[in-house]
Amino acid sequence: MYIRMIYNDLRANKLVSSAIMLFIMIATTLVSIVGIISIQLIGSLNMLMNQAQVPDVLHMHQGEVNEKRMEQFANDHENVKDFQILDFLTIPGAHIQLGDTNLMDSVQDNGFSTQSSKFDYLLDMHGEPIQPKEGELYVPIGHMKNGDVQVGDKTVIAGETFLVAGFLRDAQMNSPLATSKRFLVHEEDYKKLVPKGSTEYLIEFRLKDASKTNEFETSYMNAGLEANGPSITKDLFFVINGLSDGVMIVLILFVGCLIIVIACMCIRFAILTKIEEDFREIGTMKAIGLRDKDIKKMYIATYLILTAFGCFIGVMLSFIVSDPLLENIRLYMGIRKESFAPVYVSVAGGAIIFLLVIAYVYVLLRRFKKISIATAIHVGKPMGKERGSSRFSLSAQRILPTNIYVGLKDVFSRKRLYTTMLLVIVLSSFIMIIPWNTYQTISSPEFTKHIGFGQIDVLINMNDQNVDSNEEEEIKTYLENNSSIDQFVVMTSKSFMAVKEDHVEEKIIIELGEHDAFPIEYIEGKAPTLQDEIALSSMNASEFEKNVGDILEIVVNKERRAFRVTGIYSNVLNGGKTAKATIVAEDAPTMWKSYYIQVDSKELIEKTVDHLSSRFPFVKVTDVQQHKQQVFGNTISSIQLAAFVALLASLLITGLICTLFMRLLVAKDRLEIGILKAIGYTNKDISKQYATRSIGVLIGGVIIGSVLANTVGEWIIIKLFSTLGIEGLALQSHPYIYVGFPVMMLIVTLIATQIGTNQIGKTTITDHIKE
Amino acid sequence: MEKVIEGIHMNKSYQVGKDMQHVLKDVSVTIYQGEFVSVMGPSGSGKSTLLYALSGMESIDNGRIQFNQQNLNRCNNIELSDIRRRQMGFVFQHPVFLKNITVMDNIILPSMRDNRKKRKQLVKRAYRLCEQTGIAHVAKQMPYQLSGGQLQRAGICRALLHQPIMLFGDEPTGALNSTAAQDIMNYFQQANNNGTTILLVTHDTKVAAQCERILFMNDGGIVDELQLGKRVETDMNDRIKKVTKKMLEAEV
Repeated sequence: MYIRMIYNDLRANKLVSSAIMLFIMIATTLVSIVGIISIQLIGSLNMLMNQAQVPDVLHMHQGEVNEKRMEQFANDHENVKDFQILDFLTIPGAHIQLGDTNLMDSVQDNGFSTQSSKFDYLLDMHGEPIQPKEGELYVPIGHMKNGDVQVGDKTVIAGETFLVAGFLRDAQMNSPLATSKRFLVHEEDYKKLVPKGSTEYLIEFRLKDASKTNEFETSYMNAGLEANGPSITKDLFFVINGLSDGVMIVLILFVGCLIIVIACMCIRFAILTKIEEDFREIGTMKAIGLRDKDIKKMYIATYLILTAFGCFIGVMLSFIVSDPLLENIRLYMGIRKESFAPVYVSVAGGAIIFLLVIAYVYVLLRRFKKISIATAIHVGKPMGKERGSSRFSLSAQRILPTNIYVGLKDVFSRKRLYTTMLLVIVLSSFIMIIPWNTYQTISSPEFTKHIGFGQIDVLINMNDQNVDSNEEEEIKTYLENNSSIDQFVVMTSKSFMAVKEDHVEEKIIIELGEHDAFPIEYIEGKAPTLQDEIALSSMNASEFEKNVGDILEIVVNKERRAFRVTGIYSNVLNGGKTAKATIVAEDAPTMWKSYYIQVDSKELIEKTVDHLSSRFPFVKVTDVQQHKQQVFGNTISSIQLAAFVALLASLLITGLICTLFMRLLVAKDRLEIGILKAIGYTNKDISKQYATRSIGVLIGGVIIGSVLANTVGEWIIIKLFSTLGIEGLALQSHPYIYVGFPVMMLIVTLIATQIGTNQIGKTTITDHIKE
Repeated sequence: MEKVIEGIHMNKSYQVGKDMQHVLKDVSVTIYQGEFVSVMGPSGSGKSTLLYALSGMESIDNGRIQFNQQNLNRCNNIELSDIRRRQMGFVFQHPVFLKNITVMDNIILPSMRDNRKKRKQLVKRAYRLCEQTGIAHVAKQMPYQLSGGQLQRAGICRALLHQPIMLFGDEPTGALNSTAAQDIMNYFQQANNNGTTILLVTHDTKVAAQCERILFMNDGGIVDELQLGKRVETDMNDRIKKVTKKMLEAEV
């Protein structure tokens, strides 16, 4: 009997049943994926930590280290199992040329190391410590992912040539979020590089009892040992390594939960409609003595089948879909293949969704208890649910056509009913607008001002070590005599030491030259003009904890000199850490020189770039708009892809939910539809009323969604950009976003309403009103 | 007398499971201008189907229906809707209203479809009808706030507002007590006196006794007809009961 009931039920509600099953399936897939990735992430992290023998405590230090004192401390401390000091040689990004990629714009501190002998190993792709040969270079795995360099490529590091022998996994600095990256070279090569960089020390400890890390840290500090850099514990390495995948897990879980909510909303609507439809039958079943439990069974059976099927397919899909998402973990940490844990976790995910949905159906069916037999048999529908206000009546209004009035009045009278659809449209608009506004902003020509350029068209960068003074003079002469060059200025970036609030000296790269030639936009303050003035990029301002008007001490010609901060600007060059000043400092090492060039007309840019590149092959010539493409190219195309996916997903969800909702609404309102037809309203009239309902909800949803996107959404995006060093950003939009997208949603909604309400024409009047 | 509606050789069948149920069997009926006709018969005799077929709400398998010189069989859905809205009125056993608009708005709803510009006149006329039927004080309330009798009177107001040529009633007193039922019949009588032709389906002999003509249906056909005229006779109830009894005996 049950099988026939389920079959008939599913056959009668094909669309609703398929949609509910689809949502359950997607939710299960996502939740199971979360389980799989989480278990893999934890397993792989533990594996990496063990293979690399990560220290329990790491102190970074710049400057001299008293090794004997340190050894004494380690020997005396009861909790220290092992101890070592590793060298970490930082070399400016501009001096690292990996294949065709120069690391000048790298956000990271790029350093060179040799393989450790005791612990904290740099690993190959099989998890084994690497022993490089002379002339070989092992590159952090991130560069493999970015496609910057390939095994066998030649690289030039501060004038020394290396062959890329492979890529390395670094349990400490693997993550793109870690601010430093370690390259591995042979001891002999390392010695050659030492004079070309600045050495930092990694003071590392392994502890007997890792739970007493805090006590160890306190005794380290109390002993007054060297530690002017960051101090990191094993737990933090764990967090940093897992963070990017962790964020992905949270995002997927969030979307999964959202879809479960949508599925539950659909189930709620479907069940309530079904109960209303069968109200008299339910009353009769109760009257003839069937218990609520027995009646519930009949209703729950359909959902048991739908949910079980949805969950099963979801679990199966999760194995397929999770594979590409594990790529990051596979690459950065490696995956243990023999483990069955992901299978168990995925099945558990499916089981959780199954139990959640069925429990929800049980809760919904508790309504049977409240059904009065007398009401059910006599009235045939639930009592006391009618609401609505007599305000804004048809008899008093003269503006709206009757069909539109009836539709809108229904939306306002049954707000709760339309909440599901409204929420879905709000959400759809939100996820549709945010990526497109971000894409619009980042791809607009004005965005270059946030990268740190003024109104310049072409940029020439030259590494001081590769260019001699004659060649430099040649460039200058050429630029002066070329008619297509409107204006140019030379900027020299030099390395200085600046004093932080805690009196520790830290490296700062300052751009020297005529800053008012191509003025940039300052978030606060203005460009430096005097010899004792400096402007800082927003990242450096927060690094040195300075505001406009504050004093920053910088070592110039071996003396500490006070500079007043005149302005703070947005910038992403050199990882967002730059400064601008006008001082003359002969002894400070030059990092690179740049020519900022403005050409006569925009059409000449490409030609000028080509010409300069062929004429001066020893320098790097960049079209500034293209430079933006290089820095943000990947991000722009990722955001564009995300924006397209979000657009399609939003339209799909809107269409699906709208169709489903309208289908259920028509089933629920069939009596009213019957009466409207009986009193002379045509199918077209009634369709117009339903279209008004959906358009009304759509307009409300799009407005709320847009407001949210422009407030909460914009705030989130601005915060994200500020982590990249871009401050003072205001999201830009395009008429397409606020006009085109709602029109697209309108078309989808109208089509969905048409499909969802096609039963109106098939509803015969007498089916519902004839006694 | 002028014919208002005429059904000629009407047949209608329904699919019930695997079987076909023949509900109207070659039925022919004519209602004349100003008549007040009722249809009686046991459950399943086809009386409601006849009413809905004649009003164009139910299609027939074959035969012909002529209403006010229009062939309903040839009308499409839009034309049928127009005819129902402009020339016919309906009162159902359980008055159904849109829940979220006021009683007054429900009453003017069909007429507002075509006459939005005459809104004021419509509202005025609706109030007059409400006053006549004694529901003016509840007209601005929501349908759920009214009693069954009040709702049925509101249903009559809705059906009469556009001054239809023909008023159909499907057991309009079926869900009411005898006092309320008599009130409703009085309003029907009043409408008929004003020239509206009325056809109603009823089980109640007291209700039928107040009509001019009674059609008796059984097993999908009209089996008898009683012409009562305009007079209300005291022994009418007994006469109808006798016909009904005779009809049932004949069937047995």
